[in-house]
Parts: sequence; C-alpha cells; structure tokens
Amino acid sequence: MTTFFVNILALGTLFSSVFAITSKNPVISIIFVIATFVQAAGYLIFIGVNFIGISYIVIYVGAIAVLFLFVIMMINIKLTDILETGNQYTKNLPLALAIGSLFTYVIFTIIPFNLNNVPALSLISESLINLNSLILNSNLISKDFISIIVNAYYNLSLSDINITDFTQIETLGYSLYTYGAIFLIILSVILLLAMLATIIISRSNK
Amino acid sequence: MIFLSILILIVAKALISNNNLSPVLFPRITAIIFIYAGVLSLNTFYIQSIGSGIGIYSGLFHITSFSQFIEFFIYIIGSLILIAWPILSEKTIGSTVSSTPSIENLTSNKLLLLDFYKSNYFAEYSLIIIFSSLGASLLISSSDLISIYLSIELQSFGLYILATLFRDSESATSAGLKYFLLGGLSSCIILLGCGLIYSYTGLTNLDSIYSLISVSEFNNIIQGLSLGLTLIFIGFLFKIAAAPLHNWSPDVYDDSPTIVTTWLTIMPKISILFLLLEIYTQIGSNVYNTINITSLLSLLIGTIVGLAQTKIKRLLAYSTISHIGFILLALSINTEQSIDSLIFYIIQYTITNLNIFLIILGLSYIIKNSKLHYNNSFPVIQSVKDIKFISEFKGQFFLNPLLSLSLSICLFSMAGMPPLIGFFSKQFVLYSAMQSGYYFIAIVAILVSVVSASYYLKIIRVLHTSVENPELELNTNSKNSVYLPNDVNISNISNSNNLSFKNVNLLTNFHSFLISSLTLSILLFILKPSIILNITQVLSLSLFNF
Repeated sequence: MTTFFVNILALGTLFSSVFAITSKNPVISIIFVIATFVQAAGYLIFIGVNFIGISYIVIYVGAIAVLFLFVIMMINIKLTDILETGNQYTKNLPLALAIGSLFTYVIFTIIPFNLNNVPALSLISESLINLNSLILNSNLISKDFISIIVNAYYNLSLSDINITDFTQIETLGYSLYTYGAIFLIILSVILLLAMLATIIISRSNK
Repeated sequence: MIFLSILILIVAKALISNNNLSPVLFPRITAIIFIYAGVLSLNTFYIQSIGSGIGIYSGLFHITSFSQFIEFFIYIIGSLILIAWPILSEKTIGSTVSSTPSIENLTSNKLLLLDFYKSNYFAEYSLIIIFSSLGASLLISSSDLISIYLSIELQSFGLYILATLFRDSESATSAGLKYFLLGGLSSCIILLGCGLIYSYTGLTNLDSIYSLISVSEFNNIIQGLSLGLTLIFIGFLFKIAAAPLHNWSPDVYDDSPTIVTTWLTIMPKISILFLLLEIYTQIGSNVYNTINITSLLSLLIGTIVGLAQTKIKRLLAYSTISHIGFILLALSINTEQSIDSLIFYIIQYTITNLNIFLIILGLSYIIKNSKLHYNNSFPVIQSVKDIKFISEFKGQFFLNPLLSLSLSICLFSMAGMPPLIGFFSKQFVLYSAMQSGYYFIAIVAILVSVVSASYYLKIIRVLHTSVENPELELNTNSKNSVYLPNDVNISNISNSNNLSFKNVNLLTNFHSFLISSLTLSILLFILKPSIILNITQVLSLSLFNF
C-alpha cells in the first residue's frame, strides 16, 4: 500500500512541477510549486526520511513559497508579457525533445533497465503474487519499497535500515557536529556572504 | 587567516561608517592580507610531514604540497589584481587640486572626486574577493564531494555578486544575472553528479572512491560512477567556459566592468582547473572522451568565432576559450610531461592575461581622461568608462608608446611568438601531445594557434596605425610634447600626463610598475627559464610519485 502511495506522490510531484512551469498565472504556478514541495515531503516521509520531509514543509512551504507569493503580489506583473514569453517556449520544443530523448537514451544505456526497477510495474506483479498467495492461503508477502529497489542490485540495505531506527535528528546532529563540523563553518560563511551580498546589492549608494 | 580577515573587515566596514577610514584603504589592506596568506601557505612546505599530504578536518580536506603551491599562486595573483585598483590617496588629490589654477575647477574637481570615493565599491569589491578566494583555496584542497560542492558554491557566489557589483550600470546587472542563472545551472549539474556517485557507491570521500574503483569488479558501480563523474566534469567545464558550454562567457565578460572581468577571467579558472587535474589524474579514464572532445571543440570555437569579434573583451573571452582548449588537451594526455606543461601553461597564461587586462585598464583611464579633456575645457572625472571596442585603441602607439608596446608584447606572447613565454607553453603542450601520439589534435592546435595569431595581430595593427580622424590628429599635435616617448618608465609618462592635464590620473605608480615587471617577465623568460620550469616539474612529479 505504501508503494502505491509513493508512486502516486512521485507522479503528482512530477506533474505539479510541470504545471508550475507551464501555467500562465504566476500565483497559480506558485501554488503548484507549493503542491510539489508538499508531495515531495510526503514522498520522503513515506520512504522513511522523516526529518528531511518535515523540514521540506517547514522551510520551502512555510518560508520560501510564502515569500514568493508576497513578492508576486507586490510587484504586479503584467499577464501579457508572460503570455508572450510562454509562446516562445514551444518554439524550441523539437530541440528539447531531441536532447531529452538523447539524455534518456544515455541514462538507460548506463543504468541497466529491468522490470524490477520500476515500482509501478513491480506493484502489479507483486499484487499478482499476492493474489496467488491468497489462493494458496499463505501469508501475505509484504515487501518494503526501499528493499525492492535496493535488492534489485545488491544488498547494502542493512546499514541503511539500521540508521532509521535511531532518531533521525540525532543521527544528523551527531554527524554534522562532529565529523562534518567544517561543513557547518563553510555553510555559515556562505550564508554570511549571501547576507552581505543582499545588503550590498540592494542598498542605495547615498 | 583569510576567514579571520573577512570577519575583521566586515566589522571594520560596519563600525567605520563616518569616514574615519577611507574606503580606498580596503583594497590595499586586502592585498596585504593576500600576500601574508600566500606566505603562510608557502610556509607549510617547511612542515616535514606534508610530504604525501595531510588530511585535515576529519579528512574532508586534503593538504598536499601541490595544493599549497596553488594556494600561494592564487593569493599572489589576487593581491596583484587588487593592487591594480585605481587608487588615489588624499594627498595626491590635494596636490593636483592645489596645482590647478582656477578656483571653480578646483571645487568641481574635488567634489566629483569625492563622489567617486564615496561610492563604496572599493570596500565591497575587496570584501567579496576575499570570500571568493577563500572558496577557491578550499576548493583546491578539498577531497570530499560535499566539500567540493560547498567550496565551489562559496567561490561562485562571490563571483556572481562581483559581476553585479556596479549595479548602477544596466549591462553589469544583466551580466551578473546571466552569470548567476547559468552558474546555478552548472552547480545543479555538479550536484546531480555527486548524487549519482553517492547513490552508486555510498561514498563521498574521494580517496575511498579512488580505492573502490581500483578494486571494484561490479560493472554497475563503475558505470554509474562514470556517469556521475561525467556530470561533475561537465558542470566544472561549464564554469570554466570550455567550448560547447561557453556561450555565457563572452556576454558576461563583455558586460561586466573591466576591473571585474580581470578577476572573472583569471581566478576561478585556476582553482577549478587544478581541482579537475587532481581528480583526473586519479580516475581520469572515465571522462577521457569528454575532456578530449571538449578540448578539440574549444580550440576550434575559440579561434574561429573569435575572428569575428569587434569588442575587445569579447575577443579576449574567445581567446580564453581557445587557451582553455590547450590546457584541456594537456589535461587529457595525462602523462608526467603533459601535467608539467599544463601547470606551466596555466601560470604563463595567468600572468599574460593579467598583464593584458592591466594594460587595458591603464589605457582606458588614459584614453577616457584625455578625451574628456579634449571635450571640456576643464578636467572632470566622471565615472570611469571602460574600453569596449578594439577601434578605440587606434593610434595609441603614438600617444602611449610604452603601454601599447607592452600590450603588443603580451598579445604576441598569447599568439605564441617564439622568444616569448607563450611560445614555450604551447610548445610544451604540443610536444607532450606528439610524444603520446595525439597527432591529429596537435596539428589542429597548431593550425588554430596560427589562425588565432591573426586576431591578435589585428589588435596590434589597430594599435600601431595612425589616426585618420583630423580632429583627433590636431589634438595629438597640440599635445605632442606631452606624449613624447622620451621617458624611460611608464610611470614617468603617467606622471607627465598628470602634470600636463591638471587632471587626476587614476593610474598609480604601482600599476605601471606591475605592468612593466610583468611584461619584462614575459619578455625575458627565455634568459632564465629554470625558475618556473623547475617549479612545475617538481609539482608534476610530486603529483605522480607520492
């Protein structure tokens, strides 16, 4: 059942991100962006990455998207300009198709493609197996989503699953403040630069 | 050191808002900081245990003698660029003002000058430059995917802001925006590559990835890893504007002010190229084709498209692309000799390019100032404008003979004329290419460098042909006594300009000293080549044998 939800959420994320790009009204596209982030957060929570999922909602939806909404309401864009640029998108459609298909081709030549890779297909086959087992009156085989993907390749899933047994914030905190303390410092320098830059760019000269 | 000085400078800038400390001092302080940090990084050679490299910060950064030398080089070049700012201390303003005869001129002159100083570009420029070079020095020594990504972000954020720094001009803003969007795209590609590598190997540390590759037999892992590595390399090639991904660079370089372009063309490329070198020498075989094709394309595109340019900075951007092609050719060969020639090429190219930009800056100050003087009866410093078109150099040989001579020396060196330093670097690259059997691409490179010589020669021809415009000729005649080439030093010329025009010349003595010494080092490399060559040889040996 979780697999099904995860699939639905992933599909929804893709579609709403596409709609966010193509929709003509900026407010609606912002709402689609919010929808994308919420669905992505749900996806992450379903596959077991709770903390990151929740922080997606808190940071992206709570702060950034709302900020976008405010900015869009403030600056009052003319819709006709956007419509004109929207026409230009379709001009390059053949090029985009060619590049996209080439890229997918390269990806598929490198990543070996088999049916086990696609969760939607494996869901069907799995439900078939479940139906078999119903007839045979054996226990329902429940497979975790992650383990399907991981086991298709090789078994390194044990350590991953063990990590999720801890509180995730705890694990993150441990590694961030001991092993990766320098990352924290570099990140703080980047944030400092970002703050300084906004001040420099937006301040009036007088 | 750099980090601490960032904090100190921010505090200084925040506290001293009531003009106790002139903003002019900031670039100078920063230059001193850079020199000091460079000496510190050079000083680490005395630590015995550095021989094969030390991992610091729990192995996320890796300090070797190689990375230390590059850090030293970056800092020194950075300090040279910073010193080249048009700096006037209060004293020279006072002296020139006192030497001007009329009072109205005096007041207007002083007011406008003060306006020029009030604009805080000095302080901001130097502050952001420190941030960016902190990122560069972290990037060189980083040995982890995450630390690579973080430090490339730190470096390029600084560059985006640098491009938008002169926000009053529309072109600079558009250049900065374009740079930001495309740079963000390339960072995304790098991040995608990092993600792919992590998802296939579960490792982020470069050393463990190297050792995994050397023992791994899973075809899957190797394939995914080469995909990720290709994406990372594509992102980095995007950032250094190698050929199929070069389209942003001429626009950005052309639109941003020259003084920023100097930094943009030189500094980020050094650090990224050396990072690529470090990765490539370890696991190069996966991205061999990418680098090879890119080098061929950038050789071709950089020269052929560069032929049609009329703007000087666009032309220099295209010449940068073709030089990147040479550097990538040396990178793709990946023998000890070619790495040696790669390091030498980068050092030589940095020096030459820096010198060309310094001369263009100097010429632009002189030309614009003198034109202003012709037009108006009293000297006025408006916001300093850059030279845009090649045709603006016309006849400069008769006005500023020494500056234009040194510019033509630099251009000859870039074109690869025999006694100059540029010839030797090209020769080393081609020699190592021939030795490893890269005949086709070596022939292409030779042809391309011949073609590229033609557009350098175009600039030189423009420099040395006299002006046909009668109005300007009159002016040159009237000012002939000023510009007579009877002075030995360039600084003397600038001084004489200063006196005759009663105009505040933005060219400092140090600027001209820098130009002359760099030109001499380009010119006289043949007399004592062992200094640089020994350094590069030892470095490439240390990269392979440790």
